[in-house]
Amino acid sequence: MLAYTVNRMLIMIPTLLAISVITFIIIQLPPGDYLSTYVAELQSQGEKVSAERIEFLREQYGFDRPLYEQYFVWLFGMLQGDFGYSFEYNLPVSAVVGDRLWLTVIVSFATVIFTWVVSFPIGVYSATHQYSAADYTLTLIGFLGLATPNFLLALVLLYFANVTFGTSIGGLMDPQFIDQPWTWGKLGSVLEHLWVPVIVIGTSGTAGMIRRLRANLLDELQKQYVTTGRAKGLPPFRLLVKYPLRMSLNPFIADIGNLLPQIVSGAAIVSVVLSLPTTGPMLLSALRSQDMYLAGSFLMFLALLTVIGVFFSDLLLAALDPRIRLQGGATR
Amino acid sequence: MSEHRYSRRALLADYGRAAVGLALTAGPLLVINLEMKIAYGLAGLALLFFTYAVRTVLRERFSIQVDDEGLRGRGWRDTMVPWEGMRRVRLDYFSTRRDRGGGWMQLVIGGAGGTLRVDSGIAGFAEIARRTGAEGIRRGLALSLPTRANLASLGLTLPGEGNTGP
Repeated sequence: MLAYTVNRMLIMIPTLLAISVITFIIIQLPPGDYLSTYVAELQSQGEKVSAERIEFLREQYGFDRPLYEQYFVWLFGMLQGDFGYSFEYNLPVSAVVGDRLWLTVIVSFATVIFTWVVSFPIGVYSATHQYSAADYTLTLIGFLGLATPNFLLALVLLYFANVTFGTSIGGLMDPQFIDQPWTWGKLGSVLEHLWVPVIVIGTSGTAGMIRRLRANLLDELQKQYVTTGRAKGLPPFRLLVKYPLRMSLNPFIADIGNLLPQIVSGAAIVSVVLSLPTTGPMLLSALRSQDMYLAGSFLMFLALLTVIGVFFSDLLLAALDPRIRLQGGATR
Repeated sequence: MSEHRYSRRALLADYGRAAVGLALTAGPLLVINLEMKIAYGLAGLALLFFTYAVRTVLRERFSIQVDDEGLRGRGWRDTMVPWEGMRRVRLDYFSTRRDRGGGWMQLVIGGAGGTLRVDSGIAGFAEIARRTGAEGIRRGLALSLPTRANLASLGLTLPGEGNTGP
């Protein structure tokens, strides 16, 4: 496993470097820079900006330097914990991001756990009780979950919570804890508010997982070795858990790498609707205003999540199914 | 009796990986004044690559002998696993690609004399694996489904193999 880990690490490091280059280029692709957006905004408000001041700001923000120099300043800065300066907020990126990164991590992990805890037993039940009334009901619920957009579910929940219970479920904590240091009270408040975004963000993923697990497990249950196991008198639960369930988990594990960034980026609209203090809305605003260091830091965070997720899913896949796959995709 | 060693090419590739890994992780640690959390992370990775380099040195000195009595590993510590005392055989496949292609195999043989681990970088790996698998089957050892599938891919005919595995 050491050789495997080393090989994966050697792929991860240049991958992250390549992503940092691509991220930087993409951020620079739109015409102009933050300064030109800023000047246009001031001019639209009727304010005059002198050419000397623009030049001064350009120099101060480092826009007059060549692109590669700006990239290396950003890259080495990140390694030293300096993620650059947010032009929009006039603050270092780390100060702007603040708790948002941790809150995003909390929401994302809670959503992943919710997705797995709910979809796993339902998927297994649906597959082992194919075409039963419960299977049809769960399938219907699954399709509803897949077809309902997250932001719509968020709006519906907001409406019913307000009209039926007279409470507001927006945000991730009570107002008195916003911008306050972490305490047990703040953590409790976050956990109290967490269930709504977790259900809203996790519903479609859960429904998708149920469908995939059901389909994979049904495929496995129809294979000859399961029939052989049954004929030899293996107890049904043991027969299910020992191989078919294990084999049907492969796509689940392979999906871990995509799950985290999907949740983080996919939750942006939900975060806007539910007023969640997570990274999504801030990334959206940073991209629109070409706040390059803020946007770049978020995109690098997403890339890091993807690469780490893929690494762990590959390690788990190797442990789960260490069989050779011969050319043509068949496993002998 | 046959004697097998890791090929020079495989060892050079391993040394190359360890060197590149150390350069990418220990290099920044020495040159740049890093943020503490990033420094700890890179130090952990550098340790991993250093361990890999040490393992490669040990591999360079390692050889395995196969004869009618069993397997004998020679290196910084000698290990003898007689066929009669063989208790465990496991043949796993690892891949760095998502389509599970382009990887390598690892053979683990456990027994009375200790445990031997060899991977497919060693010259004559298929021969060692086939012989070990055949001896394991002859002695009635329980082989896992992945081990059976991997042995079959190396051309070993397994008794009672009717594509009953997953």
